[in-house]
Amino acid sequence: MFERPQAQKLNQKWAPYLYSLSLAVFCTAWTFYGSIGRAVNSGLDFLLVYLGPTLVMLLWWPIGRKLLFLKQTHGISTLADFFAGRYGKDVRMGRLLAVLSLIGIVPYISLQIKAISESFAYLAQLPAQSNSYIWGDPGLYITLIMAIFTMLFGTRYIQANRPKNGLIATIAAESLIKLLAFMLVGIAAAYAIIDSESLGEAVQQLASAPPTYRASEWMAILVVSGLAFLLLPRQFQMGVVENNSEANIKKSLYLFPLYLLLINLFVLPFALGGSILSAGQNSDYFILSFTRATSGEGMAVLAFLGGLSAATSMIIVSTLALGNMLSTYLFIPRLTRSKDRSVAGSILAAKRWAIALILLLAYGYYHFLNPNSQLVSLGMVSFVAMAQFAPAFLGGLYWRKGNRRAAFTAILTGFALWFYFLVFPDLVYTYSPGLLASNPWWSPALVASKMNFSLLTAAVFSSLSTNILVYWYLSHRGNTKVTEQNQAELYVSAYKFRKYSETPSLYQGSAAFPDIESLLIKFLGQSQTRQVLDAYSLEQSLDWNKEPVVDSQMISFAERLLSEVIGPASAKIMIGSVVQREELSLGEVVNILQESQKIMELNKELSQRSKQLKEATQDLKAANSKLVEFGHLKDEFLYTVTHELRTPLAAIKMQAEIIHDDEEMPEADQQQFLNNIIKDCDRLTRLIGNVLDLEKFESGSQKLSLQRINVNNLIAEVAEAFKARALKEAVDFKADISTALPTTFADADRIAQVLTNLLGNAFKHCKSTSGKVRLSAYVLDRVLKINITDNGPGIPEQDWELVFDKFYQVRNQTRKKPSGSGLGLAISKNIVQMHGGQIWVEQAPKPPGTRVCFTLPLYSTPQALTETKKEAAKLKSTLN
Amino acid sequence: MPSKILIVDDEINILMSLEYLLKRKGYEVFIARNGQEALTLSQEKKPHLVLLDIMMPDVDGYAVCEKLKALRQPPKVIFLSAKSKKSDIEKGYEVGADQYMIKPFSTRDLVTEIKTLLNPSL
Repeated sequence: MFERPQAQKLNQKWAPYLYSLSLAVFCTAWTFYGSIGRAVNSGLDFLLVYLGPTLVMLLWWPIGRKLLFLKQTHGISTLADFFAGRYGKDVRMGRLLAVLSLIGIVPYISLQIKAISESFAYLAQLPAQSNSYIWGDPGLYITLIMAIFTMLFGTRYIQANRPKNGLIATIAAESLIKLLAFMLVGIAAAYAIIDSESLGEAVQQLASAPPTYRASEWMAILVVSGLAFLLLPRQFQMGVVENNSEANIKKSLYLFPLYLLLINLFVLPFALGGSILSAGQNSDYFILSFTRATSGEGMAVLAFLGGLSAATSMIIVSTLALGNMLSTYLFIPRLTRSKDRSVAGSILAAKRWAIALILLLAYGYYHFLNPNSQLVSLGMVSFVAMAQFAPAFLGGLYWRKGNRRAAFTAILTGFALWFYFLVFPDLVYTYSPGLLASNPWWSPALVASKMNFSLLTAAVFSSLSTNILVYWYLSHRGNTKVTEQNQAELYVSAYKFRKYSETPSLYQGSAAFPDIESLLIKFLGQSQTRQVLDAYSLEQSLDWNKEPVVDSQMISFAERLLSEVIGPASAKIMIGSVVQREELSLGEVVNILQESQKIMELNKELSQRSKQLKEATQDLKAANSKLVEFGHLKDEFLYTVTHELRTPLAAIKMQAEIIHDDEEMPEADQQQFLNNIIKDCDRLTRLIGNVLDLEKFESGSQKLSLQRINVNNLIAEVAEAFKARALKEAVDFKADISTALPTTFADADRIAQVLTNLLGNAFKHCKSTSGKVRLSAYVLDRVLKINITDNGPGIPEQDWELVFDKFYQVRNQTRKKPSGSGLGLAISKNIVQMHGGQIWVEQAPKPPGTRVCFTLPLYSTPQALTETKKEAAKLKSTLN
Repeated sequence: MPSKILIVDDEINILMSLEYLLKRKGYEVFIARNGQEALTLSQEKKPHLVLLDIMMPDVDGYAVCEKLKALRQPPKVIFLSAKSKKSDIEKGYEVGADQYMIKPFSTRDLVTEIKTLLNPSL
């Protein structure tokens, strides 16, 4: 709805590839420098960091799709919006997410700046940068350039959840550059070490290197990197916020893991090279030194460019995502109190300031605190921080009971443990080295070693398990507010009702149009508001000049628009300020959702009807051209009818004459002949009835008398009549419909006629000894399907359509002479088609045998069917 | 020695009525339910006259008639058919029929026809 034209311009064909590449924002300078550093130091376990996301990609189809849907229907722009919206549209929740994300991510951003700065210095062979001379630091300029870029490309629209094509393209391009650079440099490295004499030794050494980590640590890294992949602000930005299509998700399911595989494949040559040359330098930049040493300056520059791309894309996207969180939950709530007519400009400014602030913090952290850790370990610390959001995130998506208080407390608890194990020791080491020297009982290292874990493992397991327990326990206790229950229902069952483009309105109430309008103008600006409202009024055919009142649906729509700009929590407050409304209870919400589902079904029926209409039109067209082409068809029909009438008539006349002329005829013979005459008369009557029936159907004068029918009962009634016959003819007949079929509107007598006819045929044609007849029925996709199967000789496939022609058997004399009128199937076909269904012959499940099937669309009202017919009739008349 | 008549029809009522009628008239009567049976019986029993339906399973009446007329002692053939179009009747005579009667026919006319065909001198 109201898509920016730019969004559509993005070439649909390339969008999935761009999306998959943009997910690779996951691979930062850490991948580029850190993985190698780690591989050189500790073998192959760096792969775990990529195995986690690969495993999560297996679940990305359901999760990513649901998030996309929630983003579109609830105006979600950040992970903080998701939490605030899911947990009762609560500002505090969003604020918690914003602040904790900031704490968790800023050091990580600063490390990327450090990577750029140091790799540049290394390449240019500058002296190690000194803190005193800030203006000579290339990191500063790169940070400034990125701030400007992020402000320009990241805040194009006031609605933060609109895909920004410039941004997507840039990130995708950077992902491509880092992959290509890594591959080229990796290939060159591979060539270099193949020539090395000590290759075999190196391979052996790498393979036999004792694993540096225990299984528990492997597990911890796997879990944390998988969760981080879901929850890192930059992943949420590229994976959800910047996406607008499910098709993208589908392609990424295999493209992204492929990307990870490729990029990691080329870590190996470096890992081998590392053990060959045993480079003692800072192994973070080993890729640069090794490439320069083995492949020359040019290749080293290429490697640097790859690392630069990796670092910058991480910085840009992380900053953008954090900036949106920060502005939405820290700055904008203040703006909402402004008395200005429009604060749209201020909102954009707030977002830009937030971006600048974050980069400033990151640069400051890098420049003044000069983090000493290797890339990989600090990245891991960030990962563990983000993983603390996981229980409340996944619970929020799939568990109705999860409530705000539980989520809030659980996240805080998890963060506390994270801080204790992973941040506190570093702080002590830097500022008060003596504090832990005596190794008191509360020292994190001691606690971890008592658990028989490393610090990282202890942090991961203790924080996540406590987090989950707290979330689970508190969600089971305490009652939640109505808004919260409603939001929980909307988020958790979103998937079920995902066919809607819009959230059903969950409020009762109305508002004055000018109030809503001025609210939108305040936050979206004059021109945007005009554009959006014009489109809405056109779509809903509303005229606010005549009726300046907006209904609950429009209110929900306005709230969603505001959410995109100021987040769900502030949007709720703002809407609340102009709308007098009642919150609905959870029961009412469920009702509304169910009602919506009914509408959905109605829509489906409608589209089905239009499909049938199309088919009917085609049938009519075909019928018309047939009529024109074969004008003699009717004559032929008449001729066949008279032929069929003559045969019993001949028998009657003959037998009557014999009785009449033969005066000495024995009484018993006379009786026999009279009996035959009566039977032949019946046959004639039936035939005439059928001909008239068919004529009525074909001329369109046959009317159905529609009533609500219980399909189970109808089938049971018809089957009952055949059970006696089955007994008499020793036919094994079963028509047990175990499931309860829904009711529908249909002509009960006519449907019974079809069933009788088809069953009659089946009895007639099934095997003469140990004959079998089966009737089965079930509903699929709002269509009832009934199958009637016999174990007779079957019908040759080329005749499957012809059997529904009038007098098929008469014209195909190779078959057993019919004892019926030869019109039964033709009439059945007409009846089924009049109900909007279809009838056909298909392969019996155990050949030989015949299976005739017909379908009846389920109609919830008689109008549904008559409308279809009326339309078809109208078409027919225009055709004629 | 009574004349032998073969009746060929797939309608059981017609078959039985004709058999009854002609037996009462003193003929020796055989019956066949389809074309193939008719040809086998003809070779075996050598009927003097065949009453032949046209629309039957397997071999149709026209084909049966052609084959009958190709026998060394061809029987007389009367078509008894519900096919009433001029072209159907003409085709009947073309394949060698001696008479073509449209169903429903009068048994009296049929008996007269049979007598005439079996005793040309009368």
